Amino acid sequence: MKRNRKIDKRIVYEVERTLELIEEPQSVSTDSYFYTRLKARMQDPGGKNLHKRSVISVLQPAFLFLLLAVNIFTVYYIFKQDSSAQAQQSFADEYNLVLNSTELFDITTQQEGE
Amino acid sequence: MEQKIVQQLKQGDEKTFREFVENNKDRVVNICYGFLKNRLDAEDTAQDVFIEVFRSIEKFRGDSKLSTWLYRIAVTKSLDALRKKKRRARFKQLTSIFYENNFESMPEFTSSDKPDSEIDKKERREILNWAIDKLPGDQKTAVVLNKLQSYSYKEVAEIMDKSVSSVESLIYRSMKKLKIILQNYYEKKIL
Repeated sequence: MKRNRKIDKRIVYEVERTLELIEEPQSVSTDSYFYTRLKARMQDPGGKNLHKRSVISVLQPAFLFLLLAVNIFTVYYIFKQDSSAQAQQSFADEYNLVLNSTELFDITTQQEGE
Repeated sequence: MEQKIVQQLKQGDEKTFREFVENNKDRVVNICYGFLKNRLDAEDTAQDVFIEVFRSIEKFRGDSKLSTWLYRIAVTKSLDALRKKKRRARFKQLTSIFYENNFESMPEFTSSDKPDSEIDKKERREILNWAIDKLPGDQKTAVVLNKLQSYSYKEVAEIMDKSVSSVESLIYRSMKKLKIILQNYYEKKIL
């Protein structure tokens, strides 16, 4: 208990000493070349690079999104085709079936005739 | 006089712009420094401020003093720069989290034997800056301008576009919050 009070006192002391510093203004000064550097920056092609970078930062995600959309569409298109014609064909090939329904009909009509 | 300066700035007069920069650069750099705590970052941001002034002087309608408008841009640009700086630091911490467990970086407290030494003061200043940085946006702006940069309540109110009484209450609340932040900090460090 006694130790706790000591620690509390210490914490209060540290907080107060640190907060005292807030009343001391912090200041920095600039050198005489500030305007020269500012002027250089205003005319600098670096500014163009900055513009280029911002254009890239917009175009990059747009391009990625487009690429993703094209990919999704392609996969969807392939699956759609696959599930219709190709899948039927490969299934028919595998079980040696005649896919054309008219031929099937012909076979049955032939059988009926016999 | 001010109207003449604004007029000449709007006309793109380089001599006037140069004088305007020379007369205000220290105050602008100091406002930026109050937020960013780094001389180079502050100078960089101050340059952004003057570039913004040059580009958007056409929009200045004279509702406030030219200097108030300038300081307002300085505060906005500093807060933007601070946000970017924090985002970069967070990303850096995120990538280093796999190596070190220091996600919540706190300044060091070495409990100096010489409480009035320059090292002790420097360390305390760092702790104070860290604590100020933890304040919410408006409270931070009010403290930086009023306490660190010695602007009066009236000037802060003009820059922040608030009433004097709301600035007073902002500063009162931020000082209370600062005390709590520092208490928690020293509790963690001492116990």
